[in-house]
Amino acid sequence: MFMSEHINYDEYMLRAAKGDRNAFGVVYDGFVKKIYDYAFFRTRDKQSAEDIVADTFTKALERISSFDPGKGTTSSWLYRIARNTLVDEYRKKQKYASMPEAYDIPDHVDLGSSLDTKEMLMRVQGALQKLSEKEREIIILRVWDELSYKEIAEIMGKSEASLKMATSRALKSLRSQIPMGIYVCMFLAMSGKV
Amino acid sequence: MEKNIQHILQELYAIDPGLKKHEIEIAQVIEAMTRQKPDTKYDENFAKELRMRVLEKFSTQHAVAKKETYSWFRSPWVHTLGGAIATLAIAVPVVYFSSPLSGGVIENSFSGGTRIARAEANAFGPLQPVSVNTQHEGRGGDAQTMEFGGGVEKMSSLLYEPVYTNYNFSFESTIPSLSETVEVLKRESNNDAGSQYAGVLQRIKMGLFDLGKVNNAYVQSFTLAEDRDRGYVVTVDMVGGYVSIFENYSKWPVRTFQQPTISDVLEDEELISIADSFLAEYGIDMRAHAPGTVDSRWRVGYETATDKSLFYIPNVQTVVYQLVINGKPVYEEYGEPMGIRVNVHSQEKRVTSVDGIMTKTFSASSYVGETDENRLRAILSKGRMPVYAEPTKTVDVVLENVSEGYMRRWQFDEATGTSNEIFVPALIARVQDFESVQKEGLWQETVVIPLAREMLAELEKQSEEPITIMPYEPMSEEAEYMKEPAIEPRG
Repeated sequence: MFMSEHINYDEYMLRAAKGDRNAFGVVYDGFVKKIYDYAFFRTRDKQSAEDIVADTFTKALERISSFDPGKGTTSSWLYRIARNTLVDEYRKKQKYASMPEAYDIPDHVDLGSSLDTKEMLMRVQGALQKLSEKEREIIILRVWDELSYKEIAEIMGKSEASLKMATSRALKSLRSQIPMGIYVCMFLAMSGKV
Repeated sequence: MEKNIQHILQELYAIDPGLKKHEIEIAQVIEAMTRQKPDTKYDENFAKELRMRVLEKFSTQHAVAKKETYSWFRSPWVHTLGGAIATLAIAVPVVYFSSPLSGGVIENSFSGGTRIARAEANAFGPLQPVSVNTQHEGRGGDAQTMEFGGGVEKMSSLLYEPVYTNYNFSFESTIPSLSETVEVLKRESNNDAGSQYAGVLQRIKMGLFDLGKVNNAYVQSFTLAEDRDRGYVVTVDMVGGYVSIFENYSKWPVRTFQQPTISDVLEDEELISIADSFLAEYGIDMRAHAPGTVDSRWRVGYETATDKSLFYIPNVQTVVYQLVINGKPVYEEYGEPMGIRVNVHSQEKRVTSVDGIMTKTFSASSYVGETDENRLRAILSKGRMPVYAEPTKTVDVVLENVSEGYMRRWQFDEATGTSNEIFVPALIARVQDFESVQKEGLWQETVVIPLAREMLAELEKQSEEPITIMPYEPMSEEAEYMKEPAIEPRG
């Protein structure tokens, strides 16, 4: 069971904070795969991603009383915990590739027999490297994790308007450096749509 | 996917309106890239197991928060002579108390929670082999031979013609990694709890009898009854470690049976809500249990009944809260989820009884585990169902989500003349599209195969020695043997 657009997860989280175990189960069911995919795209390792997911929900439980829908959605709250967990693990273990390298095209991606596609993706990778780490993360959160700008703003502690401006600047900068096809591929590379 | 592509396009145009003139090319690229989604290797089994652990932690977290307000013996209870506020009344008459009973939690196996103590290997003796599942032989699997004194009885023509079904189980998922040893658990009863409670009771000064004179006393069982409209009776088996709850019949209106209709049957959500509320109200420790699910197996019979007006619809529905040990679900030997069962009366929307509440103190012992994956695959392919040499029909069944769990079974100990409750690590596989397969006579939704090697020998025999059904003829009006005189007449 995955995230449903029709469920108000904030309500369930508030009920869970008051002791409703089933309500927390609903939230878990809605986000477990999303958090797993988020962690997998950044670690490229199944076991590591599973560890991150387990730590995320454990920490969410421990801090459940601090959840405040006025400060952000359930989605951004969980992603924030996952992001911080990921950063902590990266710092502690130096286990993963450097965070920027985590955005590289994974080796296991089946690029099919289309050499054009492969070449496009390789050039996208190069184009992504031209962005700052912050710009890259914004785009990956939007494209890979399908989060809204509002949620990204809540996770990163920025305003929505500034995020959109940063994205627009990054894309315009890239457009001037890469062909149209690659520009769009960059937007979709290794995302949940690809 | 089309909607997703459009959404992406609109977003791109909002950020960079100049892209709109390249819409066709962009849409083609988006579609091509969408088809190449990388596999994140998401594991449903991992998610399910984590879910159980997380929810168990949730319950623990909230149980700790409630602990200060929970006490087995509440001090206000001492003052019942002054006028009762408490809703519980002890069944054993009490004259007076020499001193107030102290409050607080008595720590023992009845305190709740799961405890496992390690014992030496093979500590529980030989594990008895499991056999094929003949418990639910429905209309698909009855073996209709009867033998008396070496001969074969002819059967009544009133019996329906039996159907012998072979089931071919297939599965595509991988088998979890196997271990050379498996940790078998044995549930232990804790007589210390009975002794502790006896110590408390013996402080009560009854004028009729001096309880303090009972030597080495321990409480075997006790019952508390609610003195209120529609109250309940709680029976605690201190030796076996069980708690069961039933209606206090003297406090419930006499119930005249009214056959429910299908519309009287509550939706699963409402049944679970009623059961959840009851368990929470009585502070039942649910830390080691999965969320409730409704046992709806009777519905298949209803759906396939030719005359639904004649079908008996149960007026009590059961919500099952499956036991979870070490993050793994527990099943009965033949595949039913094992755990706390809450029975809910559909028409009255009330709980009628609860059973399966038990202490969770175990000892653990290592046994040789089966590591031959091919052997386990072969056993799984028969699903623990009987195999007939000449089946009436064959049904293909797909198993999914092969995962780890526990199988509970009772093992008779000849030395002590008692039965031990053991929990054996097992492979668990669910029947895909169970509703359809159930109509073909298969009643087990879950196949449970123990992983302790010594328990598997019988299961392999079913394939090597399929069952041969003796032919039978419908009985004529008068049985052949009845035509012959029983005794030679004298003369």
